[in-house]
Amino acid sequence: MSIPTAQECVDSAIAALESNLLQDVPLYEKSFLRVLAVVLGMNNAELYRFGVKRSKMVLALTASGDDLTILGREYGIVRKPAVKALLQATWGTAAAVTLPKTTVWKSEDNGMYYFQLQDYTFPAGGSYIIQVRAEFPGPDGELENGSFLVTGSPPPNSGPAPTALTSGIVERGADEETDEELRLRILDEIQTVGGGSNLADYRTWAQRTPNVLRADPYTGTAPAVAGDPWNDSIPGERTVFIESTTTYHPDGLADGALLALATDYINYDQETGERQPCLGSTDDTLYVVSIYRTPVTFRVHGLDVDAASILACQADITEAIDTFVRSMRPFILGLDVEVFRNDTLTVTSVSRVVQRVVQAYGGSVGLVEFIISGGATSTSYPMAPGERLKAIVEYVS
Amino acid sequence: MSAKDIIKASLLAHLPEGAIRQLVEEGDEDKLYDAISDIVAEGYTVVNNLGYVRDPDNVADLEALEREYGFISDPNLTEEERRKRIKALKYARAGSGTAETMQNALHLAGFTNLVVVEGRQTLDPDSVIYSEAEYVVNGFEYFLISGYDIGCNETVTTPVNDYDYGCNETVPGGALPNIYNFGCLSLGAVRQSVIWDPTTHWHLVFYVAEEITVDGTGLITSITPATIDRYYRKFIREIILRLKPLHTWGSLNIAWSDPAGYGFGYFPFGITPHGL
Repeated sequence: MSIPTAQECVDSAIAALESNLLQDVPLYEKSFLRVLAVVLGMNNAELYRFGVKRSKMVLALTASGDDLTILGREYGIVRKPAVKALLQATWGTAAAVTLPKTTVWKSEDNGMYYFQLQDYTFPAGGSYIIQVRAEFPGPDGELENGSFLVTGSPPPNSGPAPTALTSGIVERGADEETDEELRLRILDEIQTVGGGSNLADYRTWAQRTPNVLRADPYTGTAPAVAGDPWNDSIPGERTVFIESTTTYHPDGLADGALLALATDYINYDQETGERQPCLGSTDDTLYVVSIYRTPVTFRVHGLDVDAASILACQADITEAIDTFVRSMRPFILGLDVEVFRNDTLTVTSVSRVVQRVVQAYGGSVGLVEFIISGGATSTSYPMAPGERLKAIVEYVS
Repeated sequence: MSAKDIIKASLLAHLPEGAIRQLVEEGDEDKLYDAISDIVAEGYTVVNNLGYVRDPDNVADLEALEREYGFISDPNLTEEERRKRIKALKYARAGSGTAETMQNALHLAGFTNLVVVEGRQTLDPDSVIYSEAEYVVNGFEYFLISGYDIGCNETVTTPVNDYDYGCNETVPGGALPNIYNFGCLSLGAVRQSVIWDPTTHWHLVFYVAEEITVDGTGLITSITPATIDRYYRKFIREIILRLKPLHTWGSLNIAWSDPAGYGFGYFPFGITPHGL
């Protein structure tokens, strides 16, 4: 959409006045009309800008914040709420005691308070498990096993131990879904048509899971060795690769707990508790597995920039390559759309990324090459199902 | 009533009433209000267009809506065709994954010579299936070379001839691998000997062909392969992959013929599989 400049809006206003009044007005009135044209023209220019801004807010590609949330709701995509971590802790008592629900625990590790979900009544002697919910949402509320939780108000007959030791995470903490994560799910919904337990359905179901960023569904069984052909597949089998959010795992890998949760989300509608319409399939042939990351070593040869900025330039190149590589995902025919296809790493594509950074520093670079997982240099590398790449950048003078 | 008329009426409604303020039609003051209404109407149009940002029929910024729905702005399509393909996706109803749904989509795309029939539980297709049928699944590609019992688990790395299937497929007139266009993976297509238990797995396979006959019990008795230009292979596969239940396999009984004179990318009615 072309947006007229402020000057164009003013010119248009002048033209409208002149054509309507046939330019036969006295000079002093003409001056007035000029001022009027500027006022109205500038008003229109501002309205254009406002209109464009609002139009962006009703497109999932460009909307943000509350506008994106509202847009998502229209398609049945609800922003995943933040989750406060739920921990279990072991607590020992010498005497029979009741820990009231109001008992507040504090961790010295992260300074966060933890709250019980219920009253606990324990007999004398022994160690018992309690569950506590973190004060704030997000992964920061998770604690390593063996961390101390201290209560400032121990029950009067609880003995000398006002501390509990954490012994596991019952439910992981999660931040509220970011705009970019939500946008991805809304676009999936807009750009595909679900129904009949097809590819789009499986992706939609799996991606409703908290802490799941991306789900890649396939027909068949993934091979034992990543990247091998799917020779052993038989009808009925389905494999769904799960990529977690980076707050859950920095490389987007999914652990057993997340895979189990995602399996539950695939099988059951969490709102109604009803089983998804999988047309008679059973769990025996549903494989929910984590994505895997293949290390790729990028070698940048002959980087020539001003000596004072070379370290900053290298840092920017490394970040640019990492961002580029992390944006790549396998392309699933029948589900993904061509316009966003980015599944083949080539020397040309990565060189372009490096060149953009180097040009900003006014320098030059000799050659960029990449090596997959310690092998030989490649010029092109198409990604396999479930694969993601991880960049290691080296500089060769 | 046009935007200009609405605005002018609004301006006049704010004028003081009475004989002292009588507006002369076509007089200078009337013309001034006309001009102001013209100018303000421009802004009115901008605001009015906001109502159509997501409307394929009326959106002013068609390219933005195309990107929203995952389409590349194709200069070979007319504006009407571009709007039509967005509508095809936006107003598509959720599929049911049935053979009928897939057949309807194939017909809508112009492949009216194809039928889709779901398998029956004890079908042994060796005697009826097309000798070069291929399976439609995503992530990998299976091909039956002759019936269900021939294959060698080999990964095709070198094409046997120009028309060999797989990721090293070459197109007539060109010697370059065409991985991207045919939507294959670099892993190569797999020629697989099928070792399924017929009573367990064949009911999860559906068949696509020109004609399929069934007996009184619903078992398939014959399959007549369709003949279709090989350039449509990716489109047909994509239509099926979009609609089929994830756990099923499609058996594509199609003899791919040489191109009929038009280039790759041509698609009937300007509709791509993405919109179906």
